[in-house]
Amino acid sequence: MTAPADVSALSVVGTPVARRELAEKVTGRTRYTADLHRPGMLHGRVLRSPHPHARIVRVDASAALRLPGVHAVLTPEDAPQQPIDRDLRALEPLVRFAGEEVALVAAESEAQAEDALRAIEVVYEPLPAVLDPEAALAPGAPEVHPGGNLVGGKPLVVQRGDVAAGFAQAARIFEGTFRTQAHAPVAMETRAALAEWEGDRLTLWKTSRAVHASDRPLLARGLGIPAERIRVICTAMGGGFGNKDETRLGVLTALLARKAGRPVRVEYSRREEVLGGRNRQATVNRLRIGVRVDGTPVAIEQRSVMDAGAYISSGINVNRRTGQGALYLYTCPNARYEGHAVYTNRPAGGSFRGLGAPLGHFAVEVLADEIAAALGIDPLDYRLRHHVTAAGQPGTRVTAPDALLPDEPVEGGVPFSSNALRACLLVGAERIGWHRRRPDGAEPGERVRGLGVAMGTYKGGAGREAEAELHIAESGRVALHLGLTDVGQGSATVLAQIAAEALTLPAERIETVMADTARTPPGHVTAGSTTTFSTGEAVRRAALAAAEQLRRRAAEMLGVAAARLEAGRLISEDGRRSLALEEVAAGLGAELVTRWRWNAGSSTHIVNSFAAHFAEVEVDRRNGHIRVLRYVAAQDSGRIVNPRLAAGQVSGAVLQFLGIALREELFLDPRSGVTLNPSFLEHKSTAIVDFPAVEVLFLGEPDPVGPYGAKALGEPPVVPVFAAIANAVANAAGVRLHEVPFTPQRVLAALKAQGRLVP
Amino acid sequence: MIPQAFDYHAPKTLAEAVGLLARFGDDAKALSGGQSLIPLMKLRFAGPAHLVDINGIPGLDYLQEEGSTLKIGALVRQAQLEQSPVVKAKFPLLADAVRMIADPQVRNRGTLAGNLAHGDPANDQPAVMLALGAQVVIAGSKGERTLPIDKFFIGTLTTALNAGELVKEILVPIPPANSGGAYYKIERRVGDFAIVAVGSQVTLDKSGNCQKVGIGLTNAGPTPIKATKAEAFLTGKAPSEANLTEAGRLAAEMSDPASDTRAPADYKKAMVQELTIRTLRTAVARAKGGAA
Ligand SMILES: Cc1cc2nc3c(=O)[nH]c(=O)nc-3n(C[C@H](O)[C@H](O)[C@H](O)COP(=O)(O)OP(=O)(O)OC[C@H]3O[C@@H](n4cnc5c(N)ncnc54)[C@H](O)[C@@H]3O)c2cc1C
Repeated sequence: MTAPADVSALSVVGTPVARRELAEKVTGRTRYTADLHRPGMLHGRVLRSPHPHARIVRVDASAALRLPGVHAVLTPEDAPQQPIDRDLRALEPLVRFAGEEVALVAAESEAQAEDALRAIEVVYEPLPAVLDPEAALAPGAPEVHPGGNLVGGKPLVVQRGDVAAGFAQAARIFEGTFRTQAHAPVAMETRAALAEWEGDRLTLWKTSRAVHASDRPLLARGLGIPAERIRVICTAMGGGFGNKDETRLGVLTALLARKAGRPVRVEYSRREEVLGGRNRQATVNRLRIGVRVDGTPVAIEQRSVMDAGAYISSGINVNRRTGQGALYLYTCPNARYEGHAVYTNRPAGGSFRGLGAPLGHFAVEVLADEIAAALGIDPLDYRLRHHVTAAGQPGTRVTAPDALLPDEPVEGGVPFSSNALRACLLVGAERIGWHRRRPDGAEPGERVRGLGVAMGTYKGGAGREAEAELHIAESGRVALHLGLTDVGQGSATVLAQIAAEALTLPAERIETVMADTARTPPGHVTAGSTTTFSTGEAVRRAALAAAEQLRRRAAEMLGVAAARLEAGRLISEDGRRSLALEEVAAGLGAELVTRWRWNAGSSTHIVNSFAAHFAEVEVDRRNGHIRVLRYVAAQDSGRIVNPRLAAGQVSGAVLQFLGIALREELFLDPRSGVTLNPSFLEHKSTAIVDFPAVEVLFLGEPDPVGPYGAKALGEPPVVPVFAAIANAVANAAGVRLHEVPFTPQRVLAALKAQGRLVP
Repeated sequence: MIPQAFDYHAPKTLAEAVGLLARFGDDAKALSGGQSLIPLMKLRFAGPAHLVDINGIPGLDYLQEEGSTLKIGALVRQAQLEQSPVVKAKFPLLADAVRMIADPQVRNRGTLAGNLAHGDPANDQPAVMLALGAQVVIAGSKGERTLPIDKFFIGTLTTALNAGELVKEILVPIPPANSGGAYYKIERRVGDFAIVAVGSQVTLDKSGNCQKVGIGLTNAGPTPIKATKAEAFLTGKAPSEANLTEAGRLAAEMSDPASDTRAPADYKKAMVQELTIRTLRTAVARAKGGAA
């Protein structure tokens, strides 16, 4: 494809503009939802079920209501019973996991509310629970929801070519079973909401990844009132990772405020965040790859079973994306993915950075190393020979010719808009010093070192309807109104840069108004790493449209045929006369508002981001400890709009997933179904001191579809991390790890089982 | 995360504090660094009706050498130990351990006395003090008593302290020349509680044999453990690899860890053995004047 004409000389896009609101955040002035206060506001607290599965026979709140400061108790009897999501209601007389919401109290102080919770009497009738997917799928298993525990009644199947024929051609077939754990996403900020009613109109402030696309429709359904009467605002987010929020928190807060007749704020504790939030689902992935004598893949087949927990939330998407690595990372004519999402009586899963991609890629990239090792091929060479190229997969297109290609394609016969996977592999290998790599397990002694590589592919940002609105006031104030939330990834900064570029202004001149349904156009959910790509393009087009109007008005005002916009001035063609943008704005007679909306994507090309990661580790063969010595992340995310923020995204992604790779996990007591470690004390997440600085390389060329050449960035760098570490451990100590996290006890057990202990 | 209501007391003298504790008995808790007690209260695992804050009592934050003893007052914070030149020069075991306790914020508040009085086998200081052979000076309304540290830990979160008693100071014998010590902790990540940890202290005699050996185990049983069998075995013997390995085996034999979300019991037991060997090796090298 040819590059668009306007990317030649960029002055704001591509520069490390400082993150918006940074000073406010680090000095504690940013107002998060839990910092907000309204006159007369009460504090809400949630009573949670001790049982993983039980019918609620009776809730008696009379004693609680007599306690000082208590204004209202909300029970299942008070809650409307219509679904607010596929399988979720506001409050039901049935609980499906230990920790589920049973009732809420509103009181004048948090302490009074907390005390009142203990005075509510609940009579439960415990029901048999299923705590793992295998048990849940067994015939006669207790049903978590009516209709059976396999979500949707059948597995998701996606395929290209004919895997049976492919395996028939294979000289060798490799296979393995790979497991990934349930863990908590742990954003720094816990979920919170504040509801205030004025008559029949509701204003709700909350932690959110989508005030327009999720919260408002969900509230409208849950409260049975039209969306127009609901205003949702997210003032600031203390971390999201795609995870906020898919829960009933907003609806419950609104119902409680309505019952109390006062504004109510609910803020989750860490324990509640883990139990009542949305966690990463555990998966078991069975992978088979058939190869020719030389290692060329001819058939890839993956079967995944995902523990969805008690509510599916975005689990369907997680399940789908678990197959992306198998379906698309290596050039292969025949591929099939079968994904089972299974209900259990565990705390609900939901969406979290990368969805299923890192889970499935773990299997693919470890098995690829095993194939290379079995065939005596260097794992880097193996990837250089077989990784998917710019041509895409072999086969024929199935999407209708003019239709947008799906964001997670399966079909062959469609090229990528850009693909720098090869450069990522080559430059990353150079940086880590791949030539130093020794054969697997070659080093003797107690502490052994090794190098590992893994690749990743991820949707490039297509697949969302995006809208942007640009306001230029007569005063010259320029404001970008966007319905989406900056969840902490820096989208406000990046999108302002894109508008500034189109308007030839410095980025600081662009104000951003975001995440308020009353003041912004509809916005998509902040998920799927799509914001820069899809809303970024809408911003660029809206800003270009505004620039066009300014040029026209300037020409009139200057009395010339045409004017151009340069460095914030409108200049006559001959260059002799000019007006400042403010002067032209003043001459418009009214605020100028331009809008752009598009359905992000391409009908000719698949837009994907790519990565190749390299890790160097040291393994202590006597205690099983893995120490990460170096980590190189080579990314193709097209043109980088803001190198500083982008590098922060990649380092953060890698550090976050190194912690998940090595230790994070939620444990459930198999007898009681109670989560054993819903705390930072026992669910250990990464701290900055745990790992070395990540070496970040950006190797993409400007993408022809994305705004100014940008592609997805927030999630792609999480995708290869598990496998990069597992493969480095295999190189160091000669053991294969098929289960995340790679705890010391698991590594030691693998060393023992595979005969690799120090003699 | 909201504690139950309580009354707060801020005595100005030790006698006053002890008096308050005696008066309220089991309904009262002493508060020093608050780094174990406050979390328990916020989770409502502890709900004392009275909190006796001893932080306002002057003169309890001394850290001083007196003859062959290091005296550590009840309000000496972990950070003070971490920065102390005496600790650095004469107590490599303590120096190793203290910088692995939690994070700087916790060390700035948390005290050695509180760390011991909490009686948690997962805390690091009990094993260190067991290996060093410390003594605990206890103040009560009827006066003071001194208890060797190996008589102090009774059960999980239970110590020999009676209601109304406070730890006033800790006395640690200063090791003679030719001594060395080391602490090794396996943790899930920096700043975490131990999966298991071991502290070893060795004094060598003129011929290079082990004259005195102290070994303490962290999170290896329901209480902090002094690995007496391993100590007895090694005392008088050469610190050969074979002898260190046997000492490791004996220490593991004395351990009685439970499986939990940190690790299964068999892994912990195996690590007691491994860490005992490693800490003894380092302790011996340090006793010989090596830097290891
Ligand atoms: C995040 C975090 C991580 C931690 N990690 C570690 C770790 O890795 N290793 C480790 O060893 N510890 C760790 N701790 C615990 C920490 O070291 C505590 O400071 C210590 O356990 C208790 O000391 P304190 O002074 O804070 O006591 P407090 O919390 O004030 O009191 C603890 C208990 O001791 C009693 N008490 C306190 N002082 C006295 C006294 N003078 N006499 C009698 N009774 C007294 C109290 O009544 C209470 O029952 C961690 C704590 C936190 C919050």
